[in-house]
Amino acid sequence: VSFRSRSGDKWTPMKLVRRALSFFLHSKQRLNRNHQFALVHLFDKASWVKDFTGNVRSIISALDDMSDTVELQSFNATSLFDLIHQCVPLPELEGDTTILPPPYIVRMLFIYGRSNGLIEFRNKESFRQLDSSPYFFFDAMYVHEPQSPENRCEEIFDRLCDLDEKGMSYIFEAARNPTRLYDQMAKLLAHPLQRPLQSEIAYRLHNIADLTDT
Amino acid sequence: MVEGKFGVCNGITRVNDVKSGSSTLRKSPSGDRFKIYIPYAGQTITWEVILDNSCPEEPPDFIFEDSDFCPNVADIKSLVNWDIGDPHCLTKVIRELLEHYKTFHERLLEAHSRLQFEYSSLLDQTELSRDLIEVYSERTEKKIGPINFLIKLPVDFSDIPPYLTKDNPGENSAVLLILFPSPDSSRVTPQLYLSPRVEHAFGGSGNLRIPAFPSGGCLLDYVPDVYKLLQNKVEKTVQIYERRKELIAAFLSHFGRSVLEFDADGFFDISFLFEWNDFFFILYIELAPSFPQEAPVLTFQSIYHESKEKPYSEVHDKYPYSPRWSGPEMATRIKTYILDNIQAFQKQSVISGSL
Repeated sequence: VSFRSRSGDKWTPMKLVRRALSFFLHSKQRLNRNHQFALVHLFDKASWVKDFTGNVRSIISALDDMSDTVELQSFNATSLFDLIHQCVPLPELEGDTTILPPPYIVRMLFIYGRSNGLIEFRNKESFRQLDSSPYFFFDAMYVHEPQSPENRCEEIFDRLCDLDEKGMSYIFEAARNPTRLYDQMAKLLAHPLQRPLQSEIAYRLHNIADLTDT
Repeated sequence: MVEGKFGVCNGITRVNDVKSGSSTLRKSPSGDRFKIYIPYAGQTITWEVILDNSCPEEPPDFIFEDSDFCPNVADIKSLVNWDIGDPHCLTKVIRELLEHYKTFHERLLEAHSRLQFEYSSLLDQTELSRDLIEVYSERTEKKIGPINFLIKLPVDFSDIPPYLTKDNPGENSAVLLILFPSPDSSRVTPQLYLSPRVEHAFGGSGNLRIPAFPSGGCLLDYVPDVYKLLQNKVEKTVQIYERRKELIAAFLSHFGRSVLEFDADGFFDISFLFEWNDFFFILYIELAPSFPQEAPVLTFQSIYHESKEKPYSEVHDKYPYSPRWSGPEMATRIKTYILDNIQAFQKQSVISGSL
């Protein structure tokens, strides 16, 4: 999994996201020791902060070291996908791909925190190349201020959803609600090759007496 | 044309023998003589094949590294009937020569009563047929030894769980290599070789120990013992694999829409994200190799509170359980257990953990 963290404002959201990510990393590693993570930060352009590693603590320190960001008007998605396309090798399709699992898959977890910065995506070439692989997945976590006429949260969220061209993504949002953020990040733990579609997920435990036969 | 034959040989030289070995071919710069390395009885024998570029219809000559091995050319039918047009011509010759070579080594045993007894008793008094056994004797001027017995055990591997890898793991086999340092030695050393898929099913190469060869023992007793051991291990492995698979499938049918990850290869673990009264938590379910004897280990993990810089979690491995329950029954009962314990977990995570 590689993370894109783009925190817009200077207050607590960053701290919250860091904590949620820390939980995410520890939990994901508990699920399977072989998972690896890389960290990409987006300032005016994307930069690779930490290369793929299974060392969760080192990613968390890199996260802690990341300074809070500066206000920027818009976010350049092209530069981000160009960087990823350049730096992340995807596994080749080999053998009978209907039964043979790939050696690994790549999932991009895009964490976006701007309530006003629109996502600019002029050149989609790199994105298309990445997305054409069955072993590449795009997920997003949008952390924002409560929706109001003063911000453009809804528009931004819609743009994010547009990136789900294959229909396999998990795209979540949380409006500065810590619990909800943790909940959504936990849902993002699910392995893209094994998880249900976002429209199918259901986590509520029912008492057995309440259930009808399935 | 030599290249053509060369290629053909390479392709089909899976010498149809006890060990499905393939031989590598190397040729000298002139391009019409090359060496073949053939696995046989735990050794690799080297034969040099000499053809003539200028007269390709002429059958090849052979140089055997073992100078005592000198079969009569007239006995090698495929050499006598050498037909350069047949793409398998060389393979047929090699195959026949290998048969002769095998007989040659079988005859060598006749001079040593103990070895001869070992060999013939295996053939006569067990279910092993001649094509499953290869013998080889290392000889120097003064003495004979070590002597190898390579035995392919006819274990039924048909139900072994699949091993999904892009490299073909090949056929399933178990081969026993037994070394006699000298004809009358009692320090006999056995070694078991398992094919990749079998090894994977057993959980790695270290996981099956074969007994040491008893001093004063004989192959007639030892080999069937190892065979039975293997056959039992296979049956057991298949059984417990099926139990794990059954349980994981039962959990998926209850909770498939909450799944985070599961082991789709060995079915050793599965994890879920659950919500109970707006309280989300993760549940890990892990099966030990000794499952179903040992109950699955359940771990509850908080996604809000941490303890000692890690998410707060609780391990539950002692709960009402019976290995006799079916997969679906186990899943249902574990679900009840989870429901009964969430509230306590939630409270404890708030108390013990920090936000």
